Formats: sequence, C-alpha cells, structure tokens
Amino acid sequence: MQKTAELLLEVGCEELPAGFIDPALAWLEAELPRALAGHRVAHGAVAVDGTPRRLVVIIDDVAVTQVDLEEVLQGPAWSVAFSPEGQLTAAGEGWLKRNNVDAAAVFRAEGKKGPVVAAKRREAGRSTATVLPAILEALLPKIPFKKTMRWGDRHVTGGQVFGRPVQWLLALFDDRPLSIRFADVVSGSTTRGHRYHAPHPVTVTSVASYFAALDDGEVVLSRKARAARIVDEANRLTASIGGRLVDDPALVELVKNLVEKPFPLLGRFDPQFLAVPRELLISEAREHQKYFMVVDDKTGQDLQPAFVVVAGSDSADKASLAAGNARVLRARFEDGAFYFRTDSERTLYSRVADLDKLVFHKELGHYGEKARRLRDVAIALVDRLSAGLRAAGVDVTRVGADAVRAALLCKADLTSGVVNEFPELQGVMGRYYALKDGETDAVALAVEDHYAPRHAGAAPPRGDVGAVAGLADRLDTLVGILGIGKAPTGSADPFALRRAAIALIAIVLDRGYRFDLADVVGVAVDAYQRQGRLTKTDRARQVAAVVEFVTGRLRGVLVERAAQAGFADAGDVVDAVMGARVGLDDLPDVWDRLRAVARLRADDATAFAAVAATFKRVGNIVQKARDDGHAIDPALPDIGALEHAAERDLLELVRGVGDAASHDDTLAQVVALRPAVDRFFDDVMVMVDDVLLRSARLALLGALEGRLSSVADFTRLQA
Amino acid sequence: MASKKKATAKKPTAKKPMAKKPTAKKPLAKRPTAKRPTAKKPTAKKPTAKKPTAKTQQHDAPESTASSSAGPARTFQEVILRLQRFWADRGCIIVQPTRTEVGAGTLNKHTFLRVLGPEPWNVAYVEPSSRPTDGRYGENPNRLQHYYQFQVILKPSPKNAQELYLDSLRALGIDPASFDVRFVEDDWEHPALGAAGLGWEVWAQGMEVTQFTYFQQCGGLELPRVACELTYGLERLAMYLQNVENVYDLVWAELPSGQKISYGDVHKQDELEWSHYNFKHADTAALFRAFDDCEREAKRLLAVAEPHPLVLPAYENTLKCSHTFNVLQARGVISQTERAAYIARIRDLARGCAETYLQTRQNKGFPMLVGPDRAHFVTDPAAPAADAAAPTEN
Repeated sequence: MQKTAELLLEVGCEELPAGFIDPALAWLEAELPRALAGHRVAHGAVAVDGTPRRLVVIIDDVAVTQVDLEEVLQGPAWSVAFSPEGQLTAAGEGWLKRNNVDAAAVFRAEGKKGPVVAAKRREAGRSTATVLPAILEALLPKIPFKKTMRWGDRHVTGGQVFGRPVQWLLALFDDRPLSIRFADVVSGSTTRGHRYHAPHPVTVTSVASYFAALDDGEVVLSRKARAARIVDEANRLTASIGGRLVDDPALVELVKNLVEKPFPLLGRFDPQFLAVPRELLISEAREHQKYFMVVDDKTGQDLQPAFVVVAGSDSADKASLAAGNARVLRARFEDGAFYFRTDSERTLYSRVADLDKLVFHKELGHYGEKARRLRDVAIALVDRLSAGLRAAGVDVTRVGADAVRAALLCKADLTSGVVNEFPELQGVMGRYYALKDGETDAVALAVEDHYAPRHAGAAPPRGDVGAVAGLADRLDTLVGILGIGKAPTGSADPFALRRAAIALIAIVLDRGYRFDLADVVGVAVDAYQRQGRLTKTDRARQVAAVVEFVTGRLRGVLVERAAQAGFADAGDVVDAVMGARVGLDDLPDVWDRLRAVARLRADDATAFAAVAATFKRVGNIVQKARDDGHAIDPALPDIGALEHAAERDLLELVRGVGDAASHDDTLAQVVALRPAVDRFFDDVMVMVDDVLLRSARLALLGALEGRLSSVADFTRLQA
Repeated sequence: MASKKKATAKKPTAKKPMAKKPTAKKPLAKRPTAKRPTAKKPTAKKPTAKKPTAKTQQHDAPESTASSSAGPARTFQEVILRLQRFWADRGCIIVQPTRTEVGAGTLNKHTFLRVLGPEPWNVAYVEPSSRPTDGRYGENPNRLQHYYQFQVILKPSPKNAQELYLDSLRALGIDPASFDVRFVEDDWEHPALGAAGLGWEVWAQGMEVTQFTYFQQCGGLELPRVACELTYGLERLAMYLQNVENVYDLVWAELPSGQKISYGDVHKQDELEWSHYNFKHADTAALFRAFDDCEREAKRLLAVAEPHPLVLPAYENTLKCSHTFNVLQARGVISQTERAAYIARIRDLARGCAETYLQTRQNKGFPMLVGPDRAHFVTDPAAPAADAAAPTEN
C-alpha cells in the first residue's frame, strides 16, 4: 500500500458573483481528478466547496508518487527512420530526440502499414509534490465563468482572466505548501478569514488546521451549511412573530452564495404596504434586495409586515442595521406601490390598444395582432371542446365568452409599469388589474394562468378558461415561430418552443381535452394568414410541421409522467401505446392506455405475459396472411360460418372485448381470453383450403388483433 | 464538504495572527481587530509630509488618516472634504469637475480619456452630474436632475483596491462590519461610450452607495492597464450618514456661527428652474442645431493636422452633443427610432476621440509613463518622452 496524503487547494478571490460559484466548483470537482489521472496520480474522495471569496478543493488519499509509466512508442516507418544501410536518418534522429528515447532502445515493430520504429519507454513515477504545481497551474486558467475579467497590469498578470481578481492562493499537499502561481499571485501558506472579522492571514499546516482557521475566522465554507443556517436562523427569528419565510428555495440558494457566513436579521415594514399585491412586494424585496418576505405561519399565505435580510457580517449594531435595510425596502415598496397605483388608473382593456406598439417578433408583428389571433384560436378551441365540456357539466357559453375576453386581455399587462420592472410578474399583475376592472373571476384567473405551467412541473391552469387561453398562446407561438423557420437547433431554443410544446401537451392531458390537433393548428395558421402573415408557405405544410414538432415532444412528456405516476422505465410502454395509434386527436386516451398497460405489467406479470403472448400469436398469423395477400374482413364473422366449438367460443369472447368501460377492463378481458385462444390454436387450423371458412377464421383473428392493437403494439414491450 | 471533514481536534497549529506587520506592502490604516471598533479613538495624526508619487501603486498612506476623523461625517461638505483628503493621502491628484455638463463622472476626460493607454493615472474629483429626465421640480425626496458623484480612478488597479475603498468608508465614519458593507455583483456597460467594466455595487445596510468597477474597455478599445473606478453617490451616502429621508433636508454645512445650510438652501431653486427648463422651455430647434454644430465641430477638430488633432476640444464638443441629446430627450422630442441614431452618432464621436487621444499620447511618447513601468509599454524605453520637459501640458 502506497503512502497517501491530502491535497488542499484554495483560490482566494475578491467577491465572486453568486452565480459563478457552483459552476466553477462543479468544474473543479470533475477536472482536477481527471488531471491527476492524466498524470498517473492515484487519489481518493474529492470534495469541493466555496464562498464568494474562495473556491476550495480537497482530495483525500492522494498517492505521494506517480504510478510508473511504461509504454511502447511507435514512430515513423522503419524505412523513413533508417537508411537502407541501417543508418539513423535525420528524421529518425528527430523522433528519438523529441521522445527522449535512446537509440539503443529502438526496435522494429509491425505497424498498420508495415514495419515502424518503436521503443519501450519506462519512466519511474516522480513524487506527486513535484508534479502537482504544474497540474494546478494548468488548471486554474481554465476554470469557467460566465464572464471573465482582467485586472491590474497585463505585464504583471500575464493577461490572465478570472471571475474576479484573485487575491491569494493556498495549495497544501502532505501538509506542506506547494508553490504555484496564477496571474499576479504566488501561493503561500496562509488563508484568510472573514473580510471584517478576521482580516489577517492565518498559517495553515494541514487540512484540519485549515478548517480550524475558517471556523475561527467566521467563515462557513460549506454551501449546504450556509443554506441551512439561513433557513434555521431565519425561521427562529420569524417564529417570534408567528411567521415563517416565504417558501423560496431558489433565493436561499442565491443568498447562501452572497456571504461567507450568513447572519439573518429580522426587519419590519409599515403594514400599510400590505395593500399592495403580495407578489409585487415579494418581487421588490427579492429581486432588488435579496430579502425574504415572511408569511403567517398558520395560513402560509398572508404576508406579515416583516422581512429577513441575510447580512454578511455580525454587526455590532443589529437594530440600526435592520432599520437601515428597512429604509431601503420602504423606498422599494414605495416605488412598487407607485407603479401599481399608476397602472391601476387605466383599465386592462385600454392597454390592448397599446399592444399595437409592443413587438412580438419583427417578422410576426406586434402583440396587438397576437391578441386578436388568440381570440380566434380560443373560439375554435371552445367549439371543438364543447361536447366534452358540456358532458362534464360546464357552461360552455360562459366559458366561450370568458375565453374570448381572456385571450384578448391576457397580454395587456405587458405594457404596465410593474411588469416592465418585473417581467416575472406578467399575468400575475394582469389578474389584479382585471379584478379591479370588474372582469369575471374566471377571466382574471385566466389572464394569470395562461402562462401556466410556468416551468416544468409547475401548477397547471386552474380552470378551462385559462387552459384555453394558454393553449391558444402556445399554438400561436409555435405556428408563428416555426412558420418563419426559427425551429430550435441543438440546445439553442431562443423562443422556448420545446417548452411551449411540452406545456401544450401537459395542459391537454391535465384537462383531459380531446380535439384534433391538426385541425386547431390550421385555425391558428389561418389567423396569421388573415393578417397577411405566413402567407408564403403552404397551409398544409405549416400544419404538418407544427403537429410533427409537438408529436416529437410527446414521448418525453409521457415517459416523465409515467415515472411520476410510479412507472419507472416505461419507455417501451410509451412506444407501444404510441405505436398503436398516435392519437393526437385524443391524448387523454393515449395516457389512459399507457397507464393500463404499465399497471398490468407492474401488478401481474403472469397476466401481462398472457396478453403479450396472445397478441404475438394472433398477430403473427394475421400478419403472415396479409403478407400472403389474403384479404381480412374488418367485420366479425357470422357464428354460422365457424364450425369448431373452440372458435365459436372465442368469437363470443372477442365480441365483448373493447366494450369495456376502461382500458384496464379491456386488458382483463384479454387476459381471460388466454385459454380460449390456446384452445383455438390447438383445435383449429386457420389456413384451410375452404375459402369461406378461412376468411371467417382470419376475420375472427383480425378482429382480435385489431382490438388489442387499439390499446398498444404489444410486440414492442419487454416482459 | 462538511460531511467529509473529519471532526478532529480543533485548532491544531493555526497561529493567531500576531502583530506581524507585513513589511513592504502594508495594508493601509490599521483595521480594528475587535469586532466593535466604536470605542476606538485613534490619535488624530496629521498626514505627514510623505508625498505619494504617481508610481506608488500600492497607495500606501499615513497610518492614521483612515480612521482618524472623529465620528461620522456630519455634513455634506464634510463627506467631500474627507474623501478628498483620504484619496489625496493615497496618491490621487484632486482635480475639479469638468466645465461641460456630463451625465456621470465617467464622462469627464479625467476618466474617459485617461483610462486609455499605458500612462498611470490616479485621480479623485467631485462631478456634478446632469440627468435632465430625472428632474422632479424639487418635489421628489430622492430624484434630482443635478446631483453629485465622487469619482476615483486608480490606474492601474492596485491589488488592495477593495481595502482602500473600505478604508475610505471608515474615514467617513462607516464601519464596514457594523453596516454590513457588501460587494454585490454589478457589471457596467455604456454602449454609447464603448465602455464596459466588471465589478460590484457596494451595499451598506442594503443600500447601494458606490459603484466599484474594473474598467475593461473604453471607447471600444481594450485597456492594457485595467483602471479601477469608484463612483460614490454623495447624496445617498450623506442621507445615510445624517439619517434623513429627504435629500433637501441634508445639512450641507454647519457654519462656525452654528447656522446650518441645507442641501435645499443650495439647490432647491435649481431643481425647480432646471426641471422647467429641461421639460418645457428648452428651445428644441436651437438644441437640434447645437447638436449638429457640435458634432460637426468635433469631427473637424479631430481632423486638424497641425500641431495634431485637437482631441480635447473635440471631446468637449462630444460631451455637449451628449448633454444636448439628454435635454432633447427630456423635452420628449426624440422618437424611439431617432434615439438609436443619435446614440450612434455620439458613440462614433466618442470612439473617434478615444482613438485619437491614444494616438496623440503615443506620438508624444506617453510622457507620464516613467520609471520601470516604461519598459513594458514602450519599445525603446531609453528614448525620453517627447514632451517630458513640458509636464504642465499633461
């Protein structure tokens, strides 16, 4: 067992932007081990962590010497390296020199194209401490940052760039400092604590002493620990007023990387601001100040007139620090309240006219045109959905009227002051303005919800009106952007078309809407063409392109939903149900079939095998008959046309298949069919010479195969 | 990482920082070691005769000045005086505002032109900044069409730029730990000037009090020596130090007689009149003409052959274009589409000035580039700068 030691690397910086830290550490975690492996240095566990002022890697059990190198080098063709007389040529000599090989070590080897010069090279492993500096120095300039900068003099820094200026370097191996250099910094044997609380350099002699120095220096290196400290301390503070933090994990993730040690403080604001929409207050506090708002602990909803600021230092005067932060927040709230008041002086409807000045896309015109198209598509959607909605007891006339209104209004808040300041409040503010104007609750909710789901896994629209407006918006964007040839390429999807398609599918599945996608896409194309846009391409081709794009996203959505429903690795089931009939005119049915098949496989392996076997057996014979040119009657045969008891029994059973209320029941019927099918194949010869009898038997099997295929293509399933 | 950390004996050998004084590169002014520095009353020593020269890159200063001033700066003018004193002690020359209206201290030639090229430059000045559209007739407690920035340029950026800055806050009576002074990411870009930098907005008690920028580019030119730019918002700092909510309530000065002069006494009438002027009375036809005239003049001056292009007058004309444009904006007579075209015209002038200025300095042999630095930028460092004998011209 070779001796090993710990490696510690700390890059001390001026305050790195919060968003730079995690990616840089992830990169180091992957690349430093790779670099070590590339230099034949064995090692153990790798840990990275950091704060705004330091990026740290610690690797356990690093071998103190490299593994010996033994390799066979292949060089140029033998005839190139040696003259016919066996003399080394200039080319041969050059190769030896470049590879540091002694002429005596050369031998002849068989290359791909004949004999080549070869040499065995053996290099004893060097001490890791001697190779580490070069490895680390090569790595540092490559750490990726979203933006990099230079500092000081180019002739001093070598023009090196980093996320922010580097202040110090600490590299420790086997408890001894390594000497490395980056930009204008040479490594030393010290680290530093908190900028204000422990400003002096502290000598580090081991990894343990490093952690001790950070502890003493009021630095919490662990990102996880900082996040936990923020949540714990903040909740302790808010508990004192019967509140808790607004649930905002993303803000915790951000704030933990703004400080070296979090010191949460509770501040208060004038309750009169609670009259301002809560989302606006939260945005003001969050986006500008990175403060947490506080909600009532019981309801989890009502904002409390308090906030939590996470300070980066342990202030000697917490009361005035809290008051100072409250003062800044007050100015922000006043701004927000001012915008809200000003926005509220106009109706949302009056802003629809302003949308004629807001560009949607330069080739597709402004949002005013979009709003009018959305109205047309919404009307068509409600029309296509009306039977289903009516069956579910929905007042279709009401939904229709509300959907038209919502489609027209849903983009209007884009011209408001608040949304201009906080784009993420689009829709949310629209709801407030709509309610104030006396629009119906359904319309107001739809103005907000037409953006839902706002991201993968987020809440779907809460009602039919929002769902219809949301579908219309996605369809319009897909038709428009695909229509001007801006389909996403690779990872670049600047108009978020993939997300639009995925959201569209999600809404349809969530609401259980059944409609022919191609039909409604056609309506959306027509809406553009009536405005004189997208007129250069054939309508049918545009429709096909959009349908194909959406279908392309369907598989992924279904696999994910199946996983969420507890059916992991359901990829083959998805393929099977999609293979049966890619019913984009009935997505809810695709989903139901998927669930039925996946459930059967999960719950009852024997039954599942029975269905699969039946399908295979029947499918094979039907397929072969078709291939041989036999016509198969789509209708079930008359019982009089069959002679064996086995086939008459099967006919009776098949007659019932498919009438079941659910796909689960259909599958249960097929399971029950198994003995009859087996008996059929035992007793009955299908391909007899009697044409009528043969046709009747083929029709019977064809019908069974057809019923099964309408659920899934079972040949694609793994048992 | 904590999960991996072995919970071994704490404090193995971590040496407490003894009073070990870093020798050559002394951090400025002692930082208080205790967490509560309030009680400390360092003896107020007058800055000694030590004259920092332009090449003191580390900006060392007399020990005491940072925290010597007793208590917080209580008046607006005290803030200015202390900042000037502080930066003068660290090797900055104190200059006066430009005589042309500018939107920010960055546009002053002492920043915009001096950050170009290899000549070192350390300067501090107050800049009255004009933003016509921000006028509120003297009625808004925070918004002004004319306000003050305190601008510092440290070129090349010293290694201890952040520490220097924090010391300047201490000099104003702001203890960074107590006031939770933080460096929050904020990159800065001014497309019209082809200028860009990376850095932070500095927060004190959650309020932005300073813009801290490492200049990367100016006039569309990459900078061989990165300059550090500090822009203090003087009104904000003072409002914060005086704990007032309305800018006009700031105490500008307290006279020996005990009388207090407020910011409102000094500037309220300005805000009222200039708001009326900018929004309602400015003669737009004359301003449009002025824009064209200044633009033409700037271009003409940049083309002068003897003794060489008159880049400083050209730049002043560029600034006039810029301010004229701002007033026209406030008058609401520039449409959205025209706006982009005007900005492009200003940008072209600014870039022309930047390139030409750099060329004229190069032709003069970069006269302020002295000492060992010179070898890094001039091919024949032995050759004296052409204008070395006439430093006043710089």
